[in-house]
This record gives sequence, C-alpha cells and structure tokens, in this order.
Amino acid sequence: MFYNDKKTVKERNRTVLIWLVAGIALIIWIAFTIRVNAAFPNKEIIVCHSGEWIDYSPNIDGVINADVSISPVSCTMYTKDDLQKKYGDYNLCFLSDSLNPEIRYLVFEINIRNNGKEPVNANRLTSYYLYSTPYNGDYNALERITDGTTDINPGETKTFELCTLIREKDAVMINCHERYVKSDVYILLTQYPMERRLVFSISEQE
Amino acid sequence: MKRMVKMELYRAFHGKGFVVSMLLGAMLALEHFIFRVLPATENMFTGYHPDVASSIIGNLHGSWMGGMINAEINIYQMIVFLLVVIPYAGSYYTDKKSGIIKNISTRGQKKHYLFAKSIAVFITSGVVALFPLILNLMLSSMVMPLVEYDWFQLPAITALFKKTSVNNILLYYFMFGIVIFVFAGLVGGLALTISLYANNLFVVLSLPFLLCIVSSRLVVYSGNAIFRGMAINKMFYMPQSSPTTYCSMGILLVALLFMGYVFFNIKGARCDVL
Repeated sequence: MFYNDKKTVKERNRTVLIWLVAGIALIIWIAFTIRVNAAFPNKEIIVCHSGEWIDYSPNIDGVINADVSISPVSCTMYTKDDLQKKYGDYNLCFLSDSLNPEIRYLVFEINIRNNGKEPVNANRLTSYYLYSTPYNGDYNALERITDGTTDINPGETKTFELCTLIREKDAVMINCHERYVKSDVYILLTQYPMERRLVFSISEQE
Repeated sequence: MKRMVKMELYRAFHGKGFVVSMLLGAMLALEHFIFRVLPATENMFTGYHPDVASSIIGNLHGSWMGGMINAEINIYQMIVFLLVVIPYAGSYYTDKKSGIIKNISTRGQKKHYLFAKSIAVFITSGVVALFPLILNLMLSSMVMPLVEYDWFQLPAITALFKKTSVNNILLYYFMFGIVIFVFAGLVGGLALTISLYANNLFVVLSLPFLLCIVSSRLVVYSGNAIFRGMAINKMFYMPQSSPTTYCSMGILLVALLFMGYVFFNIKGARCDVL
C-alpha cells in the first residue's frame, strides 16, 4: 500500500519489461516517422525580390497551360476609403466584403511576361495566387484589379494589380502597425514541393 | 516532506485508476487514428495540384486529433474532466474514509501530506490529460508527413500562440500541451476541494466534470470575449476554433488555483482528522 524503496523481483521484472516495450515502441516510431518524412521532404523555396524574375509554368488540364515569368514591383497598404477613391470603379469584391472602416487592404503590382507561344489568360493565371505574411501568418486570396485586359500575348510583358484584404487586426493596432508594415509580405505562386515566393515591402498610401 | 511526495506519487502512478484513465484516453486516440488518420493517408493528394498555391497535401497537422476540428477532439474536451479525476483526485476522500489519513497525520505533518497529495493529483491529472493527444500525435506522425506552410494553420485568426504556430507548429503543440497539462492539474485540484465536504466518492469524481461543463456552457454565449474565453473546455481544445484570450486564461488559472489547491491545503490543514 505504501511506498517502499525496495522492489521485489516481480516488480523489478515488470519495470524492465515496461522499459523494454517502451524502447521498442520508440524505435518503431522513429523509424516510421523518418520513413514518411523522407518521402515528403521539406519544400524547396525560391525567393524573388523586386527587379528579379521568377519562372512559373502552371499546367492544369483543361484550365490553364502557360509559360510565364513574373516579377514583383510594389505593394501599397490602403485604408478602405483610400482604396474606394482610387479603385472604386472596379467593383472589387473585397470592398463589399467588410463594413469595418478600420480594415486595411494591400494592392500588389506585378509584371508578367509571357514566354510561351500562346496568349495567356491573366484572370485565370492570377486566380491561383495567395497572399501571405510571415509576420503573423495572415493569408488571403488575391483579386485582380482589372481594366478589361485579360490576355498576355507571346513575348509581351504586362503590369497587373492584385488586391487583398488583411484579415488580421495587427495591421491597424498602434503597437503592431509599424512592425506589420516593416514586415515582408509574399505572393505565393506555388507551395509544395516547390514554393515560389514573390517578396514585397509594404509602402503606405499617403 | 520529500518522502511524503515520493510516496504519494508512487501511489498515484501505481493505482488502478491511473491505468483505467490511460486506457480510456488511449482508446479515444486509437479510435481517431484507425478511423480518421489511416483512411486519410489514402486521400493525401485529393484536391492537390503543385501549381496552385492554396492547394496542400494531406499532412500531420490536418490529420491528427489536436490539429483540426474533428469528432474525437470534441469528445476529448468533454471527457477530459472525467479522465483527470479518475487516477488520484478521489484519493483524499478514500484516505479519509479508510482511516489512512489518521495514520499519516499522527506520523507526519498533515500539511506536508496535503501538499504531497496536491502535487500527486496535479501531475497525474496533467499526464492523463496529455496522454491521448501525445499517443495520437505519435501514431499519426508515423503515417502522415509534417509539411509546414507559410500561413497560420489554425481555424481562428485570434487563436492563442498563433504566431508560434506560423513559425513552428511543433512548438505550438508543445506550448498548448503545457496549457492542457496545467489546467488538467487544476481541474484535479477541484476534486480535492470537493472531497473535503463530499460524502460520496461518486460526487467527488463527477462534480468537477459537471462544474466545468455547466460553467463552460454558461459563459460561452457571452458577448464579452474575455468572459466567453473563460469556458474551461477551451483550454483543452488544441485546434482553437473558438479561442480563449490570455486574460481569460489568467483569470481562470488564478480562480481554479484558489478554488482547488490553495483552499484544499488551507482548509484541509484545519480539518480535524479524528
């Protein structure tokens, strides 16, 4: 009933058996964990800053087949009112998404160069991208600010603007805002096994 | 004192209640592994395309019990209040009824016994609460890869330790595991306080469960985030679909500490054992 320093042979054998089983289980666990993670290694990350180009060749059956290069140009943070003033004519879905006037938006500018032999539909191409930031892990889809131009002809380079809504309230909190703005933001073209990352620095709309 | 703690820990970890509680937790973890994780390995690439940024392959985080919302984690956050009291939280009551406490109190200081009891209950409750999650995580990691993504991998943007989850999801599991361990230990302490007054072991073991469930349901619909965050089951819900706040967590921690161990040690020392 009470604690006893001296263990009987039976108790000692039981302890040894428990440690033995635990040891074998641990070895099996390590072996299987290594095996499955070796089959799915860490992703390779390709980073592209402003002024650089990154190759991107999406091939999705029946949807898009393109060979393009993309370059990040700029990223600007807007309040809802500022975005409304500048891009109000484009009927952006993100503008109607939230009634909160404190919300912040990011507008990315990217260059896309068509390296293929067929025209590329920019609407489809950009619909697969994702905004994300390592600052707080915020992410969202991107909406193209379109003036009606959709195709990029072979050999042609065009500039496009993509808009997103920052879901995290850090972007407007006094203590966090500055750090948020200083943090990099990404446009992710692909994620796994190869991550293609366009890196932007935020500038604020004055 | 040290010997008393050692003795209580020995009794706690060698009791049938501890084994029963571990087995119940293991059953839940195994059920999730067999019926959710193993079938998920066959659908790892469903909806995945390497050229689409938002498509991801099936991975450990989305599959294991504590990673995303699933039936088992919902069951877990309910039954954990029972699991944590089964191993040793009723031992003060049984010691009192069987007369062991008289022997101990005449051979040593009662406050040392109560302190040792508190430590043993705290540790066993924490271990029992974490065991199903650790077992399930270990089993799941044998068949699902750990692929980390750039965005936060939790359902709610206000989740606790969210930035940690972005940088290192395993560190997030560890940190939330500590939260679960601490709050499980504190719930165990409630049973000790109840055992000062209760006249039935069933009451000692079931009242913490009822208190936690009822209090959680009462505050969960509050419009105030801090008040709403004081639903104790949120401290055991690793996916944090409806997260608590640091302030709620602090208030709850202090309240449970005083209602449980502090009250038990002060009041228990004053109670007459004969």
